Amino acid sequence: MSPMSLSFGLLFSLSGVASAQDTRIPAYEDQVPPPAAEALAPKPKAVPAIWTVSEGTEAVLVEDHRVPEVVLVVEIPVGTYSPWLNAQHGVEAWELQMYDADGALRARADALAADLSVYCEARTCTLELVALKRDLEASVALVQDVLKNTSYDKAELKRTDQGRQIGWEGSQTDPDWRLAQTTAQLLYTEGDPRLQSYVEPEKVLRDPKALAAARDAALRLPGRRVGFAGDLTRAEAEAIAATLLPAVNPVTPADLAPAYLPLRADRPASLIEPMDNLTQIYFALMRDGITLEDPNYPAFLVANHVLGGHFFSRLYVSLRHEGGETYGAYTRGGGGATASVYSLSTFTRVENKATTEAKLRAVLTTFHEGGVTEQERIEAIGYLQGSELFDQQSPSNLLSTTLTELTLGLPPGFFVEATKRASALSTEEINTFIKAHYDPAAFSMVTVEPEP
Amino acid sequence: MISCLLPLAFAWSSAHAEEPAPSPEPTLLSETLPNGLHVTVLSDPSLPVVATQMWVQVGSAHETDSEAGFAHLFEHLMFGKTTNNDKEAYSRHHTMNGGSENAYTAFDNTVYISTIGPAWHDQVLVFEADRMRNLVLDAENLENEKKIVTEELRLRTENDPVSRLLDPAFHAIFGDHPYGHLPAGTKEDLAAADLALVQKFYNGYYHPANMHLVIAGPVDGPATMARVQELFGPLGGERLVPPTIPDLASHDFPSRVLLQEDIPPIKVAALMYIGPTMRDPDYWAFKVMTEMLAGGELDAFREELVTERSKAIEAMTVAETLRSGSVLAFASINLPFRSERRAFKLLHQTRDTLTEEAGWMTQAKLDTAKRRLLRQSLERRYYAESQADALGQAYAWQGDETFAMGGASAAIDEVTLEQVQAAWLKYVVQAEPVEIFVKKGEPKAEEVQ
Repeated sequence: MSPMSLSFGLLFSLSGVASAQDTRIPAYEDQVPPPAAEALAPKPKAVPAIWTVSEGTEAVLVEDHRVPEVVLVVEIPVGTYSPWLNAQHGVEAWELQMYDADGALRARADALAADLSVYCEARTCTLELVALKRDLEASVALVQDVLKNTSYDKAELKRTDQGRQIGWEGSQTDPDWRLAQTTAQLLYTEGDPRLQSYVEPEKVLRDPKALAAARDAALRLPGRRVGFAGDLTRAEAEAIAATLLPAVNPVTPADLAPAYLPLRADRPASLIEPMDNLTQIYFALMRDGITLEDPNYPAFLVANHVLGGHFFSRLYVSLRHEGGETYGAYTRGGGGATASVYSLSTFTRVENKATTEAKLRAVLTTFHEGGVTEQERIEAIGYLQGSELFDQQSPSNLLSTTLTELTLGLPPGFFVEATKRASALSTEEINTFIKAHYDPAAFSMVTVEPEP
Repeated sequence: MISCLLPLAFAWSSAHAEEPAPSPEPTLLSETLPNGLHVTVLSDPSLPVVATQMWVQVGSAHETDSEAGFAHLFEHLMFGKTTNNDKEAYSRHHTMNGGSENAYTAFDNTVYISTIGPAWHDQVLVFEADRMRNLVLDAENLENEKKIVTEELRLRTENDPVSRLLDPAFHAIFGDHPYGHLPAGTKEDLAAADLALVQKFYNGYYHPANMHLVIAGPVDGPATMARVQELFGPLGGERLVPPTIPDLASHDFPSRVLLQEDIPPIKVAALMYIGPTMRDPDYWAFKVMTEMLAGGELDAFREELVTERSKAIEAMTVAETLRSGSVLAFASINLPFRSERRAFKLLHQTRDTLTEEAGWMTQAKLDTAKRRLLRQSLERRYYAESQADALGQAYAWQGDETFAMGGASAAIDEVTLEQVQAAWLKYVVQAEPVEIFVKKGEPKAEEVQ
């Protein structure tokens, strides 16, 4: 369903609820799934198997026979950050390939009671199909036909174009989106792919032939992966993977990889983004976050949890529990594949701006000066280790983590290993990192607030 | 008294004999304690975490006119200190062991949720029983939570145009029905809440006979049930029975509602129909009907209005179920040139086409819809929280938690094409919809004669 449909679907949804904790999903780009831990898990439920199908194609299987269902994933190694993919409108070529002119592909998915989705993220484009095991053969045939579709529905291309524009206009009145846009514009240089979500979308290409060609070229890029999860064996997965995709084209374009630009050096200490019709002020005390490959990433996991990662974090205690300035206060971002916006975020009623801003700054200053306590370190490690169990719930959880590690070029088990490394750090080592990274002078205060 | 001990793999496989039986087998144990607390324990050794949910049968729909938003405010207060534990203890137990805890207030229920590894689950029960008996309710905490909830209300309902539409839309559409105000309430009502109201909720509504404790995960069923009896058995007090919420079918809805907000330059038109409650014999046919209409990739209404006729830029079918009834809505999103009259005419024409050329209502589509619903219920087996949620809702809305397991699959399996056709006729063709129109403009919500 399009974002436009989702927004207005909400209007007709009767499941509106209010909850104790703010569970909204952070809107910033370039985030990766939270890390998993290992120490307290008695035994992993399944271990992902990884093998090379042929030159340029890798496969991953998470075998789990609890439920007679299979997940089949095709992932190509380019996404919305790729100049090459964008130049030929490859994103819409990928995302609209299931919309054939007569709707036959979606009708086949419906007949199989399958969920079929195609989408692009920053570094990958993915096709995912979930179906009952008994429909595996027909599901594989459907996936192959989607990946061969050349009859893109022109009317759907036009509607997607209209939807993009309406979605863009709608985002201008969302204060959280505007805060994310403003912080991204402060961090990244104009033209950086990481700003892409915050600039007006380009027109959708309405040429089916060109779109099919772009999709075909993308599908033949080396570095692609086929993922399987659920009720199938290694032998079944190997047989499917061997014939699922067309041969890889060994000649690859030069501009596949994202062209990241240096971060802005001229970031102001504070910035106000004015907006109509607000009864609250939205804050982001932001800087550039560390990356996954930074040696301090394990220390960051602990520090970030203590500062803004849970219901009694430093931020929550100061801004919510002591004084009721806000409903939610948390850290966002950091730990991305590349430098991304990292912020201490909250919101409050308009007349309470000064108190809230002072508290937000004070939390950072105190954290920078004193670091974490030994008890906080122990509890943060307990969190990282205990939450590993959640990653084992379904085979698709495990498949997703494994594909993320492979996509980012991380060694298998990277996230589990990161928790182990975090667990081995002393309080002093973590506080040394905090002293360097959480210097208030490195942060800018961004607010979205009502027009004066 | 133990009322049910059911190997659930059997329940699934008997309803769908052609599906391989999932393994290992979970078992369901349920019991109503002498104090009225209903307890359900789903023991599934294949799950890595334990979900614990306390379903309180009080939501925003049970509030009086002067209590709007209070069920939700009280939910926040339940995270306060007790005579045995400080305010942080419950959340800290979850955080330091990798678990999660939260709560939500909906129209019909307030639900407290916890998910954590099995090694730390017993302490969750201890905390849960403690706050049901020993919560410290004082003016200072109340005033602080009022401020917090007011910020939540501003966040959710004031600062985004579509969100701003929700509250006036519900007032305009549902009128004086208890679903006519959102769980978030109003700032004025929150400001007026006092400790007397707090005590009414805690002592009266939060009586064990108004609650259902659900536990799902790798637990020993009988041992867990015994522990619950020990911890929750002493709960009591003088029960306050929540008021009965009238079924939506008996409510007098307006014929047309106009909503305006600072939305993008589009016009949204919708026809909203009222369907049966989950306790109604028609419910499963209605449920399968909505799945046939819009459960898959192709939404029959959208295909007709948008793909076939190109008369809107987007369209959708939305189906929701609450305890007091279901809602089915057909909506279109149009460019600004589309008049209100024309937009509704097109919606009615499309509905008529779905009646006259019912390509979506075939035996093959029915079989597919059943298979899709089966797959959704099978997927829940991976997640303790999903299992607990389904058990809690089935008991709250249907009075029988086994509907969350094999019961619903069996009921769905028995639905015939004739029953679906009858449901379409009764709840759509012969029914008068509420017409809802949304456009860009100065904010307002009004019934249009």
